[in-house]
Amino acid sequence: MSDEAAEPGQHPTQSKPLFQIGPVAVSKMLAAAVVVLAGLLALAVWLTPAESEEHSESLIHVAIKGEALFHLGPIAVTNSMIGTLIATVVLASLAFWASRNSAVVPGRLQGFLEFPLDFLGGVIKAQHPTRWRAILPAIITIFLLVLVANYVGLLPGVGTIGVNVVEDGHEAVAPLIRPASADLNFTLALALIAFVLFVSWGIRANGLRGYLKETFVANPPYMTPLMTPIHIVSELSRIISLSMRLFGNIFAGEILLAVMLALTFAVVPALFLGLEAIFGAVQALVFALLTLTYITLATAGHGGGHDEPHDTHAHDADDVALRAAAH
Amino acid sequence: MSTRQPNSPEKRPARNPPPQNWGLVLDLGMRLGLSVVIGVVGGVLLDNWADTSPLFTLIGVAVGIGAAMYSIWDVAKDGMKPR
Repeated sequence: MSDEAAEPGQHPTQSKPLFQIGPVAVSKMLAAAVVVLAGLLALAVWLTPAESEEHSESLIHVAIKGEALFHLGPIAVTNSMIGTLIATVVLASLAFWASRNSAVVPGRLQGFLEFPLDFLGGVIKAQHPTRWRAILPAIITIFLLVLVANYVGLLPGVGTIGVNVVEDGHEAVAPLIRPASADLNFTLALALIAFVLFVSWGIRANGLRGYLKETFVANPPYMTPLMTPIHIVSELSRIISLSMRLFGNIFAGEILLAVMLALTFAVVPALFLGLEAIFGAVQALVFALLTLTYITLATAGHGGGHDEPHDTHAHDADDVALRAAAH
Repeated sequence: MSTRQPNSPEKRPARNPPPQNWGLVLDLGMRLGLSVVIGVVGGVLLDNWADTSPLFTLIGVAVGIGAAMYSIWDVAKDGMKPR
């Protein structure tokens, strides 16, 4: 609205917008945000006490493998197992709560819990219109487990509360809880489960004979001695890629948080906590979607990777079933 | 009467990449490197075991590079099918 069009009793400036969001304003805001962030970083580094350099050695604790806290018979219970247990208990409690308190019109928590089911359900349904009901539970389980396992690392006390353990004959302080995804054992086990999942789906879709032929027999057949090792290395690279990506991202995030806590204070570690929250969700989504993609590729041999879409009524029935599964 | 061509740009459906392609792109780069690493490590281990250095290491490098190229083909062949 222009000044001329303002009401007679009104102050002329009231009709003017306080600011206009255009490309220039956005770039100015971005520049201001960068300056503020840089200022905060500089302030935090400047205000950090000098003795923190001595403390930083004790604050930064890096161990690539999970540390054994105690033994249950021959089994060493590591701190990452405690992290996995917490993630499992959280998921089981949420599932129990959701199954008891589900309503047709979802509340806030129910809507929050249904969001990944709706989103991933839609993606899986688009890829596998006829098989989505069988594939959905496995993908959702992988996604939620990885997500909660990643977020365990962001809880207060995780990685900072330590216990005395005896390692290689001498005493050391090990964190009581370690996020499960920061342990290669967890991510490798999950990648192996995903591998079994997409191989079993390949066998289900093409038959054992068809799957073995697809995997080990080249076309033309005289190329088989060359192609079989290539196939095997390619399959192995999937397992290692899945496990190393998740482990690398979450473990690097843990180290980053530890370093930031040791070097800085106040808002700076909080910023990195926010970033880790985003990375945790992205990595969980990537793991789940890659498992889905591998299932799609494994089922693509003879039956076609993308199922033929249903008619409208079938889609409606699927929607109803998806909502029912959400409840 | 409109004489719009059936394949005119405004008639084409929008080709938004489905969400699973995000992960696929992230994965492909990693698998390219890992395939070569697996081939080399496998070759070195075989050479140490059979004392045939550098025969299996070279074969491992070739197989790893082949597996990396195959990984791209494995992903791309689905997208190259006529729609």
